[in-house]
Amino acid sequence: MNNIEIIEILKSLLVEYTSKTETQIENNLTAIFQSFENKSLKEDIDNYSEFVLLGASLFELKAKRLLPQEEEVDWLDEVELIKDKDLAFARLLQFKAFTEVGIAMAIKVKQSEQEIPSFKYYQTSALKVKPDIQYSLDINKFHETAIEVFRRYKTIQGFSHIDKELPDLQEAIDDLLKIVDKRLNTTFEELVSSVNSSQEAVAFFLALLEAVRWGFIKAEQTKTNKEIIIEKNYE
Amino acid sequence: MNNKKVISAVLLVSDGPIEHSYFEELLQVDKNTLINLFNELNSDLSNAEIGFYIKFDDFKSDIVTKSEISELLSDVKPPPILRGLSTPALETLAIVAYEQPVTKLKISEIRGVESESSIKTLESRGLIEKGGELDVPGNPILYKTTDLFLNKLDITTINNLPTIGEYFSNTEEE
Repeated sequence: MNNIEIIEILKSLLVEYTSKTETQIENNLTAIFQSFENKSLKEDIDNYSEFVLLGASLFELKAKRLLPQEEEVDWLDEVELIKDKDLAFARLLQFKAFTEVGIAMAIKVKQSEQEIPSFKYYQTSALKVKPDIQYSLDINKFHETAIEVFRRYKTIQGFSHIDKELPDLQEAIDDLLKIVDKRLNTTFEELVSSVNSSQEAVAFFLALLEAVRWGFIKAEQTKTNKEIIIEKNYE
Repeated sequence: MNNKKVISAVLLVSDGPIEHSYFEELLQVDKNTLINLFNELNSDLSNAEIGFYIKFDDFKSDIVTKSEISELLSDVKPPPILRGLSTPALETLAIVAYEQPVTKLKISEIRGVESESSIKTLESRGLIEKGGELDVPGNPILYKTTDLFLNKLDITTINNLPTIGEYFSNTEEE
């Protein structure tokens, strides 16, 4: 039994499942299960697994039918059963269609390969000099992209500071002086060790510069890249 | 006369089909004249019993051997692109061709089985390629057919693929 015959039997089983030809259904089911022993089918593992899956589904359907049924059958269950059957049939048809389309395409490729292009090895495919970059701006697309960017910026890393209020310089100076007051001396690196973002560190640095300018504190950096030593100005 | 020499020589040394616009610019001729030149050249080649001809469509042209001597060229022609491909691989190729751009998951859903190996085989043969990612969580890769696939099917764009119904139109009804 070849694969096409097996597909035909599967198809007829799915179509005629609800009909009264019990003997025919029995015979077809037997044929399907016997076909699992088919050597050529076993060699093609993808198709084999497909058939086993379909066979198992049919077997499950049959098992359900053998169970005692209540006298009043819920029509919704019946509709679900029909839907399942239709879906399985549609899937089988789609599968079969693409298989045959694939084979038809292979035949067409084989035909077209009967005409062989002349052997070429010169790299002349880019006979026309093409521009390095081709870029065109579509104003509507640009507008859509802009909306998308501004709608989504909150989820993009690096934009989290946008919604924050600007740091108040006076507050930063007061904070700075409070910390410096508590210690005899400290360093800028220590001060910024607890900040959460580079923006806050910048605010601290600006506060430091302002505090030095106003003479509240003294700051000294002996060498480039060395720590900045801060102490209160008692003068 | 001179134009025919140039066309045949360019097609001989170029490493692929030549678009008509190239000849139109090079020879300062319009498309109809170019087509006439191709036909004249083919007539000359046929009269001289040469084993190749100029194959052309609406966009491009190339020199190809005649199909009637195909069997005698088996020792020198390149191996067939579909050599050794299984039916599942052809099925996968058909799905990519008609559903593209398509994810691996969709291919597997249609086939009902895992399609990883078929996709890899088709990719290694240059018949399909990655063509972007789907904008959903996980960003699955989208697959599409290549120019080589179009070339092998002798079509210019995927829009020229036959509708699926055409493959079945001459079978059961008749």
